Amino acid sequence: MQDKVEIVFNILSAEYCLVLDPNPHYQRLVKEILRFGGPKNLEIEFAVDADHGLRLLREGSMHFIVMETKLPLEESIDFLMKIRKGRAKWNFDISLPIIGYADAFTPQEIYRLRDAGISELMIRPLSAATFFKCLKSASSRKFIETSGYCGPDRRRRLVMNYANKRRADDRAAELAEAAKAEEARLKAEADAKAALQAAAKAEEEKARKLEEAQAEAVRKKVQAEQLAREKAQAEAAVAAAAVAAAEMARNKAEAEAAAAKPDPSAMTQEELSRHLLKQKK
Amino acid sequence: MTDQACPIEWTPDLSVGIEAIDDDHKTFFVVADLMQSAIRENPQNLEAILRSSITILQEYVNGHFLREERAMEAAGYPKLAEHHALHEAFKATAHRFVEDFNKIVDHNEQKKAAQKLAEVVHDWVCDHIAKVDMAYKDFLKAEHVDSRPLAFLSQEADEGGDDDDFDLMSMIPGDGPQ
Repeated sequence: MQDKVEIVFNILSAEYCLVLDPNPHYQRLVKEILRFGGPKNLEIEFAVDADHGLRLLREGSMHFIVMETKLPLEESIDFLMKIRKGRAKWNFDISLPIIGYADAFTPQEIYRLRDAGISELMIRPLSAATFFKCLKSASSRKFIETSGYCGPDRRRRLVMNYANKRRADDRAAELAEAAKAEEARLKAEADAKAALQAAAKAEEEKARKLEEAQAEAVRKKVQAEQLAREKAQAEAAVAAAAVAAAEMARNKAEAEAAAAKPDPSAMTQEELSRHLLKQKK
Repeated sequence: MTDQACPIEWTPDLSVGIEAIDDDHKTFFVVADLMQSAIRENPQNLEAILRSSITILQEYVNGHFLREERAMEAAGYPKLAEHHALHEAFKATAHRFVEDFNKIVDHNEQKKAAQKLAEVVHDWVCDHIAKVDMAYKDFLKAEHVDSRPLAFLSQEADEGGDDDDFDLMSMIPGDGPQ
């Protein structure tokens, strides 16, 4: 069951495919296999020779290639090597699966195609089932890049007494991979450290701003209290002045009243009588 | 059925209303046409093209029949047994044709046999869709149908086959440690 899930993931996610075959009947056959057997909306581009194929690859990335391996054979091998060894040259994925087919292969031809970087080979007659098995196998194969070989992992069989032995070509790739992993680890560590430092700095800045804000609030509160106090004092002074003015006015009025009061001892008899009468009234 | 009665290509009046099944039917028309056009044009590697077409046709017949029968079972279609028998009869006919084709060595005889097979497939598909498949048109619904691509159904119909037979590159000698 797991097997089927893998097929769905690998094949049904493909959107673009290059078919390299000068024969229009095979172009159509492969198209029908892909259209009705594989992803529903797969876009297929057809190339009739290696140069045409490379041009189409440069124009738009493909998810896999299906090709006749006897374009003739030398042309097919040249096409494969140009793709696989062209990491610095091409803008497309050089590790994409490449499925080849022909009417027959000699062991020597299989070796040469394999060492040029073919992913899988099929013998005609073409079969949809074989085709998708090849594509599934190609999609799951690791890509190897060494000075002597670029292409899918060529190891396919469990070999007895294989323990502690290794392919010489893999050494450089393994070292490069280990160096790359170490570099990635150091970078991750540095990134984590930088992130921690940045977080601490941000925290410090936040605390400083909070402290400043609190001090400013205290300062404003003290200032407001001072202002309130001064205002109250001013108001009290005004009120006291008003009281004093009122007292003075009252005293003055009393004095005036007192001054205005007639002295009976200095009055004539007539004035005294009128005064008494007035008071009596 | 004659060519006049049956169109060369799939037409909408042959639709059973379910996209996955219609797509399968279209495939048969396309592969039958592909065989006939190759025979007409007679390219240098005609035999290889015909053998590939026949292989694919067999795979798709098996996958399509499995898709239809599973859907009929899911829907509780009452004529499933009858339909299955018709499928089996066609598979046997096609199998006989392929066996006969494989025995032929003469180029012209091969062409005649392939032409006959393409016609049989084309006419059978037309007749079968029009008379037999249409009977389930109102019965089967899309939810009853396994809509995965035909290749998956073909693979399941062929379950039990050797899974490693494709791995041509592991068969060459001297593929040990370097």
